[in-house]
Amino acid sequence: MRQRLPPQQPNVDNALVQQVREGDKQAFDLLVQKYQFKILKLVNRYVNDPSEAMDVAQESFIKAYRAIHKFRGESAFYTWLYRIAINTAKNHIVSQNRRIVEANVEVVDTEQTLMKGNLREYTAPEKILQDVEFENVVNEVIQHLPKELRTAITLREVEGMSYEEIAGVMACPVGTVRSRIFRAREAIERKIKHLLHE
Amino acid sequence: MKKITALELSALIDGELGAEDKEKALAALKADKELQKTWECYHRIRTVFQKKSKMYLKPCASKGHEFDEKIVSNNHAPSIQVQDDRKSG
Repeated sequence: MRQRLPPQQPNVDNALVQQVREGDKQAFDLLVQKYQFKILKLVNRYVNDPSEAMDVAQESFIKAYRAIHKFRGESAFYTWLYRIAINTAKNHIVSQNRRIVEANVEVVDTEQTLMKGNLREYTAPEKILQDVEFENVVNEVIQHLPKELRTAITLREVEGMSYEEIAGVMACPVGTVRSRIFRAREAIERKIKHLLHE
Repeated sequence: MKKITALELSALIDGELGAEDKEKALAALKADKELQKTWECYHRIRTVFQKKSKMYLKPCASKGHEFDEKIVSNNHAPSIQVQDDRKSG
């Protein structure tokens, strides 16, 4: 089995970044929705307080929005955002006169609510950061997916294979792969929606 | 504006839409709050897979996450061939 980096979507991100540069705030909202959880978890490793993490994450996104014209696309958008978040978290700690303890942070991706004043409008910060239950539910659903669905989404999300590559591996049409991955996500979403949007 | 389906959103997230469809999908997504929740949800699901990815890549992955060898082998194609799984139930 080939080992790959986790799947990236630079094209979608780049398209959204371009739209933000053209003044489309909704495009930035989509980027926030996409990355808010990862950024929250990241900064929480530094500030170690969910409420503070929420503030730092929000500040990070605001900085990113204001500086988006400086993003030249030499790295993935998330890598750029990641650096902003780390710097914001460190600055926050310094401003609190606390010692910066380097968090054991791993760069997984090597590569509007925000604009309305709230990073997330329907979930408490503590809930966002308490993701153990979320992960348990997701893993439970994955375990019970039909094998075809589980294999398709795992090849996509873990191996980073394209639909065409998965179709080759699973010996089925690309349309079937597309359907299987969607059905897997749909099944997981059905079980976790209440955790995200309650 | 034409609405997009969750199936199309799933393909968008995977970078599997063409340029024109991608632009249309993003435009539709911006206008659909419910679909934005699905967008966020799918990305949350992705973080779980990514977190576990090292475990998946080990030869003996955790229970329930291992690949089905018959399915991933070209020499053992699934016996059921369908164009669209949704139609088959």
